[in-house]
Amino acid sequence: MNSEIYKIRVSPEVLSTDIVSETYQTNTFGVYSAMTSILSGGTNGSSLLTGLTIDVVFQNSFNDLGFYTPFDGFILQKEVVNNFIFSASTGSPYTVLVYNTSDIEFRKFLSLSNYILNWGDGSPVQVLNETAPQYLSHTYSYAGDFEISLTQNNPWGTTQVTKTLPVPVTGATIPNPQGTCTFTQTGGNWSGIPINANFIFTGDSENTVEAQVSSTWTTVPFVVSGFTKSQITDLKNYGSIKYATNVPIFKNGQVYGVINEMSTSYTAYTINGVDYYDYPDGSTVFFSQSSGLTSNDIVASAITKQEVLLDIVSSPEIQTEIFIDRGKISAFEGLQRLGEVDNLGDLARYGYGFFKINTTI
Amino acid sequence: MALGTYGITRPADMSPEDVEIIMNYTPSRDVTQNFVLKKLDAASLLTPYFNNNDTGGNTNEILGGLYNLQLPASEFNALGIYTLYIRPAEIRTNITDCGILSALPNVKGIIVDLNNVDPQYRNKFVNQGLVGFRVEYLNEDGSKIPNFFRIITSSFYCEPVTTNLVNTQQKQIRYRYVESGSDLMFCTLSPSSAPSNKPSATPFIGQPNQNIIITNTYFNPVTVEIEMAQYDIDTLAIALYGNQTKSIEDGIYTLYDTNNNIFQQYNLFEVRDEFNNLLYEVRQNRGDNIDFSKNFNSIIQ
Repeated sequence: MNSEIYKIRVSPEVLSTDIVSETYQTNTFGVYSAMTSILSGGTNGSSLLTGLTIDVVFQNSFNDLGFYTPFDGFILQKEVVNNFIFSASTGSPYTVLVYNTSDIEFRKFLSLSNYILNWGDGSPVQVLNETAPQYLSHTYSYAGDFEISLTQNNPWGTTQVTKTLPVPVTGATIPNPQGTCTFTQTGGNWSGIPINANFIFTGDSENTVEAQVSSTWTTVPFVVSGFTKSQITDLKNYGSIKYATNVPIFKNGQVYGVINEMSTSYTAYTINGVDYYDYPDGSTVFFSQSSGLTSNDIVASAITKQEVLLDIVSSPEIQTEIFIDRGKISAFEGLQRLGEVDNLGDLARYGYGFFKINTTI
Repeated sequence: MALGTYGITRPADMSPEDVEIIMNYTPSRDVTQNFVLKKLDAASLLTPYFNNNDTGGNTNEILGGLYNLQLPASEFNALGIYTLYIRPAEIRTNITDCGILSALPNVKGIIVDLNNVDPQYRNKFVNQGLVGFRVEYLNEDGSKIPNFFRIITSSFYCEPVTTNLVNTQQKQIRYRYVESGSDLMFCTLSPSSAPSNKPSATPFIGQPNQNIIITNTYFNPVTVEIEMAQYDIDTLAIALYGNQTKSIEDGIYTLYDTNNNIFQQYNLFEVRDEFNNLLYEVRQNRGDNIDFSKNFNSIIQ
């Protein structure tokens, strides 16, 4: 951050107030007053310089290093906020049904998105704001590969997902080029709404909540540990008994710390609720309780991805310089990434409500 | 290519209400203690410039960056050095709670009760009105946590809701956004999410009941040092290059500026001993006792 400094000297030479007009023998001229008289000659010793002003320039600095979102930790993949699937029946392979599978919770949160469906054959676009199992149907008049696109508009931007649809629709494969897993029907009929089928899922990672967090925490606050520099010397300044074990050391009337144990292996002490262990090799290990948030704030964070590489979109962008500080810590997108869903329950939970659970053919 | 290294500075167009002016006065530069800081009313002293036809804008459009600062006569009334420290206004309040959104538990934030906000700053506490503001934290002993801050990334009115946890016996307070009619404001901060390499290290965004300072980031701090001086280099030029007269009759010696205004007047006289031996030649400043008959135009006409 830049900081401007102005240095201004005010002396009689720059003050018209300092010169008092006088007349002598019809000649009018000015006479300088002493600066001290000008400065304190007013009411109650105030200055006579009532019009003394200066110009100041104010600036604002910013670094266009990236962006953060007002909903920090809520960066989503494009396919989460905008996605669709399509199907057809074996009896009517030219009639295609499109389901908006965009994330319901996200849309409920913003309530400002609308979705426009383009069938790719020149027919008028249609609004598809209702999510699955609601759908729009369209009958193509000729065969071909059509680019179906779903465009999401919100106050902060537009996203578009496009998929290629071969017409007439044959087979039972739902192409999903945006993800890494495909769904292959292994039996049953490809008809009816909603679609019921058996699928083979190939997840690419273990993505349970437990797998994404430290195994050391079970309750809040949880234990945080790490390495630091020795701070036992801090205790020397307080208390009359120095380096005695189990004797509380007070600072400002409050217990500041205590040496818990001194042995040849380590010296254990506590400062401000943080447990430290000094080892002979000069290293120090500390253990403390996490702090800063109430207990209901701790939510398992999913894996972090490089957002740029994933082609994600986010909610409103704000120019800032703190993007790096924020550390690319998208907490939400990993759980909703289609390619990492490895069971049917996740599909239903994360917005792909098109599928029914526990349904057999 | 390094991003953000070009054009990162622009004129600020903040409102005077967003500014705080702290004044420090010292009569001498060698005073090193007992400074008295005083807060001046920025809203009445600072005036933005506005565009006109010549500058390409309209008269309702702020010029941006350039402000006129009035130095109040009641304060600037002595010789010496006045330091004006101009910084973003500080909104002092406390954190009512740290919570999460009911519908989106990933979104964490601090909740501020508007009743704990100075009325003059409440106009900032509207939906998205605090975006970009900076939050600093105070310790219990009143000291500020140094070099630590968070940035507000969103602010919305909210209301608390009770949410079931695993079963109906366990409940917790969460928050949901409301359009208006609430005295609570939910502010998300950045960073508030844990890094992937240490998911348990939830970033600190504050604690309930913790005192905080919220400041805008509309402009960079400015320091103005104003020295009220008796003389300066121009004054010396008057004495050196200006017109001068010396009255033989009464010994009054007068200095004039370039407009022949009387700048200083002196009595010139000699000091002699009882034997009439000259001991001193004296030049004595007459101060405010100016002999107006010595005005330059009257003498030379």
